[in-house]
Amino acid sequence: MSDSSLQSDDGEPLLTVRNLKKHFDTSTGLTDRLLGGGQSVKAVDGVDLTLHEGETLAVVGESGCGKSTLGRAILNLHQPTDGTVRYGGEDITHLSGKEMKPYRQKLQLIFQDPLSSLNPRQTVNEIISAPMEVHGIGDSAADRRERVEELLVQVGLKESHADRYPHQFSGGQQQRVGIARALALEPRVIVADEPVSALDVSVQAQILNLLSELQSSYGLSLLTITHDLSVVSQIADRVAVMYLGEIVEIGPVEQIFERPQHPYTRALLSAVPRIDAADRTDRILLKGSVPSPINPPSGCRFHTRCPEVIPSSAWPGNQSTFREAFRFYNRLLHEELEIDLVRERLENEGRSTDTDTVATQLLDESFQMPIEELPDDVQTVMYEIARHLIEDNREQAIETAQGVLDSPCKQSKPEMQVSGASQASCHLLTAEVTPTISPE
Amino acid sequence: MSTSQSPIDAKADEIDDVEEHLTLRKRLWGTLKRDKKSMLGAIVILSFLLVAIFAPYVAPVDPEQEYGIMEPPNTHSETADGEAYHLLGTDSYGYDIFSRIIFGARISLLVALVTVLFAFTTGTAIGLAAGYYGGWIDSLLMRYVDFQWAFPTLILAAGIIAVSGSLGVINVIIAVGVAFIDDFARLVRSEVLSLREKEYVVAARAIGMSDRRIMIKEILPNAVASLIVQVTLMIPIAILAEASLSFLGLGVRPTTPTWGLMLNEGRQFITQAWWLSIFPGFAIMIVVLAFNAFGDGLRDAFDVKEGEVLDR
Repeated sequence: MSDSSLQSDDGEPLLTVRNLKKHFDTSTGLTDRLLGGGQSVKAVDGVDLTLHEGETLAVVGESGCGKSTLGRAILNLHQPTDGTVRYGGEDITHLSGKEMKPYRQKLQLIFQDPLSSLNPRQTVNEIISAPMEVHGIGDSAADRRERVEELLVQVGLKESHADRYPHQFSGGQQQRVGIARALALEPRVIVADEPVSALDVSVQAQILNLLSELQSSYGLSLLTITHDLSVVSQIADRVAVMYLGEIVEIGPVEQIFERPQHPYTRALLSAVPRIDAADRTDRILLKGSVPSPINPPSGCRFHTRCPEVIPSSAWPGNQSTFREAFRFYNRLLHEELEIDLVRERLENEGRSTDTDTVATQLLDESFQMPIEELPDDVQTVMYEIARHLIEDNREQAIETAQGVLDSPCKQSKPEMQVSGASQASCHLLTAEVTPTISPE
Repeated sequence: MSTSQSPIDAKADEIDDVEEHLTLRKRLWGTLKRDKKSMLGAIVILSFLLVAIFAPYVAPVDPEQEYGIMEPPNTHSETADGEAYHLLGTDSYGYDIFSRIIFGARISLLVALVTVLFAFTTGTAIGLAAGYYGGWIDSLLMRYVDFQWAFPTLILAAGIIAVSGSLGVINVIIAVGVAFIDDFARLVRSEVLSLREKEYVVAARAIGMSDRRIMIKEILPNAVASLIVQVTLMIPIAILAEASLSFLGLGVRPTTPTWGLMLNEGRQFITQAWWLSIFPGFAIMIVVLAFNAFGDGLRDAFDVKEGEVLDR
């Protein structure tokens, strides 16, 4: 898999995903739709991916970033909202159940929770032979049974296990049954949705080894969805980092692990547990919570939490002071600043609650460093924002903040920048903006 | 291929001490052995079934044979070919009550079983389609079910009989059966709503399985426990419904021996001859209690939560 460049010349990739979107409508009924009360959750929002013959691509990201939805939208288990999925050059995006059937044979799925993916009322034989029955493989039940036993042995179980029920196995064994079912149709592509996250650590490695073994013996392409970077380093050739429904960086595993381009990737990598404490000094802690995919941040979606957010041109101070002020700005935008609470606290402490005191207190609580460390004119602006806010003039406050705090990261969406074999979408990578400060 | 066989898995195989898989039948038998009440219920149901099947052999006399009217229990009548013993007396037409109760078991149980079977099949089909497809199919089917649910069972059944315009076993079965559809439809739909989100259903779709096969082979078997419980709880209600319709004069033709009809006919003589209506009433009560006891046992055996099936 040495040649994993994105625009590879070795013909059409096995699976091509272009601008795939999956939005879930949260409106529950007719009234919602009429009144416009429903919102849409943008679980997957414009994803491009390619999967080549025999390679393993891992999609990583925090929980809730849309990676499982991506897997299912690719397999047409969720009808995509927009974009295309092509298998071997053919568009399979909007195929109906019947039209999709021949492709189902080629594209299979492995689940996170092995037990719930196996029907509790069926024996292993019934579970694994069902796909063969559906696709008319094998002439008789005895024929299929033979194949089931063969598959069981291949995934490291015994022939006699065919008559057992799912709950009679351990978690690792259950996952092996799930893998055997996926293999029954001899697919070309397997989407593995968190294949080992529900398993004991000791069993995880066994299952991952099994997957790699089967991959080489069947010539499979694997799309592994995971939140676990150790899984990525164990089995993947390439990795795609996902944040809030978008791919922020994609490329060969070694390159991304050694030279991550995107600040989010850097933060993820720094969070990998290491045995040697000395290796951990550069841990980047992301502040703030993951924004809602219903209303994702404008521009670069990571800007609300990015430790390397680019200061606005109007900012007189350095990046670390900007980051603090920018966080304050984002909380203002998301209505997270609780003026009433501040006022109440002051009251309880028997202090005055005039505008100036509340403003000082609010700024004190919102900044993790003394406000005096900010450049003088910025301090004045901050106080002005706080005062507008206290006087219930939120719009004015936002307007004032915009003047000094609008980062380029917030204003425009970064384009994918190619660097070697990998790509990342971050404003730091474009020529006009110089990557200034790395976090201390 | 032993390379991929892990030491852990291998060890588990050596011991081969796997948890036994309990089929529905095994679980049922285990509960009956443990729970005396449901065992008693099962025995009573079984004996009533046997009596109903072999009614002509079990009944001491022909239920259409007339004797002296309103003979009290434990009396004898003189007939051409000897003496007839009336364990439970005779009714206002002079029929032997014991024999009529035995033949009445045939009608009552047949009506109850066929009614529930009809409601089960139709209701399950409606519930499956509504729960699985959702959307407008769900809205349409469930609005119909709601509409029906808003009607009291007996009034609906009486209405259906009135519309069909004649009395008879078939009409009673259709009337009560239709009135019970909603119970099954609602139960199945709620089961399907939770089952269709299971990953094994997603797996079945990923395989390319047809919707019909997913519904019948993947979803329905997992709902079967609560359905069986529901059936056993609906049968006594069906028996009562048939008896009530007969009591109201809307059931089977007047000369047919059924428990409800006997109860009704005895009603007017309750002050002179209590046995006319008390004994058919007992028969109804015993069967209904037996089914309920059995149903409760099943509910425990299949671990169906009390709220899951509809108690009425």
